[in-house]
Amino acid sequence: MHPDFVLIVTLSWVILRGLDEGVFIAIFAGIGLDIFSGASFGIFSLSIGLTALLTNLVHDRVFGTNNLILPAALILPATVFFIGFAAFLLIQLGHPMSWDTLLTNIILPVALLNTAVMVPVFFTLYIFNRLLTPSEALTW
Amino acid sequence: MLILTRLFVLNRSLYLGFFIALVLLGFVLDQLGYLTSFRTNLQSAISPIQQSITLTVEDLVGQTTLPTDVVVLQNRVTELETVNNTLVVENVRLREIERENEQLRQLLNYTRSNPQTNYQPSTVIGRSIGVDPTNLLYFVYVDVGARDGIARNMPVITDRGLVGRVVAVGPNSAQVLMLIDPASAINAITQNSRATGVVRGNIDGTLIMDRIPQGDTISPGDIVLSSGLGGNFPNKLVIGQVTEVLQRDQDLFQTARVRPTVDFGKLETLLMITSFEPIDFEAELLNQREDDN
Repeated sequence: MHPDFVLIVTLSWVILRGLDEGVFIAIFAGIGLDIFSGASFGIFSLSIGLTALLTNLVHDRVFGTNNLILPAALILPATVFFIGFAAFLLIQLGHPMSWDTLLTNIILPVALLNTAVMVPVFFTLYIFNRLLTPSEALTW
Repeated sequence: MLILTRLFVLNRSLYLGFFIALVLLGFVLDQLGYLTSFRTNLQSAISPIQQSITLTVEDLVGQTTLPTDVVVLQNRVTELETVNNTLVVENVRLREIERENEQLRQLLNYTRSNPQTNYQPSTVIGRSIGVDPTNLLYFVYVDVGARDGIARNMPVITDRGLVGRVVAVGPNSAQVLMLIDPASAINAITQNSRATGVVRGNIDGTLIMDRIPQGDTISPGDIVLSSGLGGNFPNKLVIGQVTEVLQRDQDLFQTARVRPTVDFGKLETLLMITSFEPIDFEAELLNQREDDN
């Protein structure tokens, strides 16, 4: 079990820069995951694309665009959705998995792990983003 | 990125539609098998980079470990673990040989007296260069491929036991499906009680042996070996040890939890059994039907 760095970086960029830029990261990240995983092509592209879309929607509607602390917490439900959706697609394609084991042994532990890793990664990307566009710096 | 962003803002629905179409096209091509060579070639192309990263990470881990006594103790523990593993596997093999000898004595007209030929085939040594990037699948990538004589469905082992089988091959790399992946299944037999069953992977990285007939006796501590039934794997390869038996009278079969002997989180050097030829019953039956017609 390991943190989903690809998901963390993608969602961080979506929160920091919006969907317009985040969607490109999501597309490339998803295709990369599909190529280098043993799953059928498209499963992780769709999962991460949809997760980025929903994260952006919730972030803008619930938290607004000028808050950064709370949106970082979105990684927890986003991870649950991302792994859950990918697992659903895998099961539909004949990859046997039991939902209770999946939930207790993979989804929840990885969601907590991702939340812990999100903080330093998000902070690093926040600084990087400020260096790129100082005028668009967001508040904490 | 800025130009791409502006283009995307202008034609958002167009690009989203293009993305979905691209994913669906990729999915269809993948299902039809047209994407396999592209994926394996790409994996082969980046395998030197993966190898460099693996070596760098190993060097960094080695350099950041505490010096002197701790290092000496760690080395000693590793040595002892290796010796212990070798002895466990050796012990299992000797017991198998003993049992087989008993059977041979009973079979008067049995002429072949070399029981090891079944599972001491030629091997290719590969180094693990990467694992599946997701948390849902258990694959490992190795730095040997078609150029080294690797083919699909070849069994993969370590000195501790069975790891899995090759599922995709590129020129310089191969993808191995581990036993602990839920999509993996192997016919198995317990060493002492000779109870048969099917060992399947579980999403939490453990193994489950099911389809064990109710009449068979199985108990914690039993060593589980591959049975060779089905023709997908050689027989007598060590899989693991029974830790718990789940038996209910109303069920048709018993189930057991199996602790794998291989540490799937620390795979480094793997052996690909190249001389074993898996039997594809489905293809043979189809060929037979075609011949009959």
